[in-house]
Amino acid sequence: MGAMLCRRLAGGHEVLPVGDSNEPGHDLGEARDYHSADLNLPSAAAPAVRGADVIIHAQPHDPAMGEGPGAEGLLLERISRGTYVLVQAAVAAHISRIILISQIGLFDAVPEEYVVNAGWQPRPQPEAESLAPYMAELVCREIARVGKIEAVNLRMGDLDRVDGVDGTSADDAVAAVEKALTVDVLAAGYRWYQQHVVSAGRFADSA
Amino acid sequence: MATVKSGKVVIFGAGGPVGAVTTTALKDHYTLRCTDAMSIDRIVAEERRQSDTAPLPELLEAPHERAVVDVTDYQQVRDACEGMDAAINLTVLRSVLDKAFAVNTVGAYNVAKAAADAGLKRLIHTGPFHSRMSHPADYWQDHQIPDDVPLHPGDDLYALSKYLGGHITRIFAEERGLEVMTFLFCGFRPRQVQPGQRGSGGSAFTVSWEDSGESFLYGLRAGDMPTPYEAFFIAAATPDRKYRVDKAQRLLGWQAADTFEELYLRPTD
Repeated sequence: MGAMLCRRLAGGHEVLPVGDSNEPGHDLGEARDYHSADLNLPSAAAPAVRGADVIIHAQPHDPAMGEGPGAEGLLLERISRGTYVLVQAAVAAHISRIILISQIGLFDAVPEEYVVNAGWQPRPQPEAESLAPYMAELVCREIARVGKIEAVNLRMGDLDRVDGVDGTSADDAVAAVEKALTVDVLAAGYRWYQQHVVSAGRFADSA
Repeated sequence: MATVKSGKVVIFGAGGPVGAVTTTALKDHYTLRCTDAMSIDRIVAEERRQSDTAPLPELLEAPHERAVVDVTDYQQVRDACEGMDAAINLTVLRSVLDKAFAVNTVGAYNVAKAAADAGLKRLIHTGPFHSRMSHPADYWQDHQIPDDVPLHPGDDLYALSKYLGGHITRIFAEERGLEVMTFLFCGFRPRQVQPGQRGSGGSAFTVSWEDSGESFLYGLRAGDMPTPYEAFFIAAATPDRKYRVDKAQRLLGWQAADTFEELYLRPTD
């Protein structure tokens, strides 16, 4: 998701790609100057966000879990602490908005007969991969609540699952992020704004 | 039936002051496995108190046990839960980024997962209720605040990382059939009110060390809860009516014996 957004947004914006691996794992297109940073560290997050007007935080959408003992804990810490450190760095750099790319899968546990919208309480499973994007949402929401930053939460499905299941097409994802860059978050009186971005499947009709 | 009237209880964070008073309150009723990230023997030997008035843990004899357990390591937590009937998670790390999420968030995950995997009947989780966060979304201006009010941690490292841990334990309760109580604390103080303190005022949302320990005995012995996840204010009733504390009385049968009434009464000549 992050790489696709870099490629597609680079046509109309100056994109500063940041990741935690030494080299980008995917083609970033015209988005050059990849910056490797461990977002768990304030000393690494601060230079990573320098010069940005808006942050797009896509890591919680694809929270890759490692292997071996402790992998679940490491994932949870990377996403929860990493999001906290990233938002703190953004606030310190006077960046006014963060766009979080979360997962529509947070509602998989809701019975199919319900029409779910973004105001519903997420129902992650008690597993690290399911909890991680919810942790990122809570961090952004609570910091936005106290006025430190505007946060736009976009819950998306998998990019490669658009044929009748709960996927999000690249076009829909990019359009939602473009809108999130400029949407008047404060119009409703809150600094937390959220939307479901789903192209097909059970959640598409309420997105 | 999630009631635990006897049996074995593992305590995580038993080396801290709440762990100390909880151990004292439970030791004659349960077989305890007292664990902490640091050797409890060392905590006692070096008199590592968190504050001047904070109690130190007792060193209990067998059949009670002591063990060093790092809650950020799932396997250690799982091993500590083996054979237990209930768990109490008192672990906390307040102000160090390097460990706050590891202990307060990941540690909560490890304890809840291990408790569910081990088939424990009841988990008592703990966390802070910050009465004053100095942001417009706190409840400092309100009165009769109930136990179930949503926490608004803001960007406070301690409050936020614990808040995430609370949500994690809630989700385990809802999805894994584990009964979880979360005890929310704010301030602690000694039981005795000194003569010169009469009329000096008290902090709302305070409990004596001794009463805080007793609350866990009532938590373990309480009957089934209305929902798998219930939060409780563990505090004394105070005449300022800032916080409601009747839920613990209603569902656990616990209320603070120490109400520090003298702190609120006009000094006598």
